[in-house]
Amino acid sequence: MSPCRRRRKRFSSLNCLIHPRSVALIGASSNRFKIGGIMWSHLQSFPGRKYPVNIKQETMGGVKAYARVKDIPEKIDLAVIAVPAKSVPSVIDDCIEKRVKAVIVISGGFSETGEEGRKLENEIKSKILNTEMVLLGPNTLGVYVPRERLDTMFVLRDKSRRPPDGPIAFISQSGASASGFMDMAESHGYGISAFVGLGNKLDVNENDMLELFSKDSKTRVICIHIECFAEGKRFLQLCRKITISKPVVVLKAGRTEAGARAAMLHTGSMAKPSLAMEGAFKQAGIIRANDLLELFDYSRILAYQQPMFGPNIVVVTSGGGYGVIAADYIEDQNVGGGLRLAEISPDSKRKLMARLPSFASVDNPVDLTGNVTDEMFDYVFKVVNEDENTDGILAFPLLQTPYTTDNLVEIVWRWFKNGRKPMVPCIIGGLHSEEVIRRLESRGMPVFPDIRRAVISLRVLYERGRYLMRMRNKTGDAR
Amino acid sequence: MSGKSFQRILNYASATGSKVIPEHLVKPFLVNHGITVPSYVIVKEPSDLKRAGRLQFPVVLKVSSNRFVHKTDVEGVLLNIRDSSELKRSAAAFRKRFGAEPLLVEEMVDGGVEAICGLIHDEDFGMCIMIGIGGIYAEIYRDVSIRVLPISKADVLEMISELKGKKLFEGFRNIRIDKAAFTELVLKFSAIGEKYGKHILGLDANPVILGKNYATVVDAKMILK
Repeated sequence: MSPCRRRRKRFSSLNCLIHPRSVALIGASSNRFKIGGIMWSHLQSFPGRKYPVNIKQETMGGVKAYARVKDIPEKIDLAVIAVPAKSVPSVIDDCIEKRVKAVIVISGGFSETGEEGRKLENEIKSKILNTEMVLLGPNTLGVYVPRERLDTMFVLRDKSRRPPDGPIAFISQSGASASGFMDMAESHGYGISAFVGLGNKLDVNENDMLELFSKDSKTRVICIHIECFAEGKRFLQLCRKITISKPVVVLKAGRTEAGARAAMLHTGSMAKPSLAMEGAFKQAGIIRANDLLELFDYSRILAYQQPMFGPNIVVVTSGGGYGVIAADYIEDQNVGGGLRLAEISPDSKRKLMARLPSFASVDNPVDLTGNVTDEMFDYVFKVVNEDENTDGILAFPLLQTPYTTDNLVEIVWRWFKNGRKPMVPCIIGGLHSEEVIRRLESRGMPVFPDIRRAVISLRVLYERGRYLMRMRNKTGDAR
Repeated sequence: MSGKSFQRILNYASATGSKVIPEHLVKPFLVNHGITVPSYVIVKEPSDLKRAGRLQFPVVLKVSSNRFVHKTDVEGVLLNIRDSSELKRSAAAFRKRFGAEPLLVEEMVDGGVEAICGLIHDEDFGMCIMIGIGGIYAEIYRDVSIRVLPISKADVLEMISELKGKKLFEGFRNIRIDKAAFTELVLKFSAIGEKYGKHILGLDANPVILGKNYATVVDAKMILK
């Protein structure tokens, strides 16, 4: 087979991981307290054909169960395997014989446990070599694809909620971060296009997923949490291509040290692999996250907000104190955004002075004070959106002031949606504020409950914009 | 031409079994790739010392051996040798301490600002290039920038702009250094990395002395894979 044809075949098998027409669950159980039972009940939401496979049971919830996957009379696109590790190799044999396109091995007990487990993994690896079958895992939660209503995860839905369909593809090597991230996304009202848990990466790895989601029209941002690269050079190569049209956010945990021989050189001892990664990510336009919250914040801001093409920020606030803190963070190179406080143009200042009362400050930060009204906010947003010296807006629509109404959040929403410049709102407070934040977020507007996180999000939008500008200059694109 | 100097390095490695390449083999290799180094004379026999007479004094005497990667740690570097008789005495003293190891006599390079430029093979991404400025301060403050090869001139300028010490390139107080020459040097290292990346684990130029109109590699080390 030519390499090109082989790649196409692999791609079509990979596609079966998230868009299968038929699914078999090997190790399904009618006992809802067992993993195989939980998974079978979660699989019920899948509208396509689904088959339980269990060597001991003949029926499962009124449906015929099959002793082995080969006994199923129809073609199987995806087999999900949840049997003890030592039984997995023979199940894999069955799947190969059945010409299953893709398998997910949920079971643990492989290389993550030691030498015995590694041997089992190698045995499976040699079995699937030269077949068209792809294998996700082992030791993974599997996949969750809202648009297909496909859910192979064994974490209970009332403990770990599932987000709706949306623009973020989430790829993770850690089951814990996966359920945490998705539960968080659900409670903030953000959707995901798919989740794929990589597990031990015996076969399918992050590079396969980059290829898959780069071609998925539903995915606007690819978000990855990994602990090691399957093939770093290929990863960069793929990201270079993808980041021109889709942002890629990566949390790479687990630091590695330079080898002893390399450390004999100054370059070797100073150029730690983590530093090399920083440079490599910049070159490939990858946005780097350092923890799960950053991964979450960066993915959502990039998915729901336009890039920013300059560093000049206007702060619009009704609380002077927030403005001062924000101004410090905006300009700070180390802990803040490394951005600039915009110098509002004289023309815009005149416009602001003409309509705002004398107590308001028309310098940046624009401080409308506690006497602010909804209309004042609306007017300021209009002026700064038209201001030539402004690239982005940080808004503090305080909910606690007496003359503003519930309509203020509608005004913020409108300018977020229709404004020419990216706007990041920051709303600080307790229960009442949280309710408002949820309301805005469920409509697809990222809101931050923390000044620093809001500023860093603007920095990420600028990082993205700057990268796009650089790439356009490189390719000679006039835009 | 450039291939020959690298062949000598490979020959040395296979003859000695050493992955660490002594400086008297690295310097000619750099010269053949268009990189500026101080004028030097390699002294293997005492009679070679005579050729050092054509150098501009003061000079530096260094031991060049795979056994002493960090020469200063073994006091294998002697600065500011003012004339040939002092050089003769110093060379004799080096012979006593280091045996038959080759010696390197080099012209001193004036003042300037110390920079670092190096290649390093990264397990994940392959050959990377690193720059830094400020001599030991670059090391203490980790004020360096790294990229994966290949890189363009725009990349080098961006790397420089990431350094905290970037002000030195723009003229700080009365310091004037040659940014263009340093940029060229970094691109030449990049070309070396691309061409010999198969063999090289790392290549260090530290310090590179940057002056008003030059960037000179004063000390260089190479380690093969």
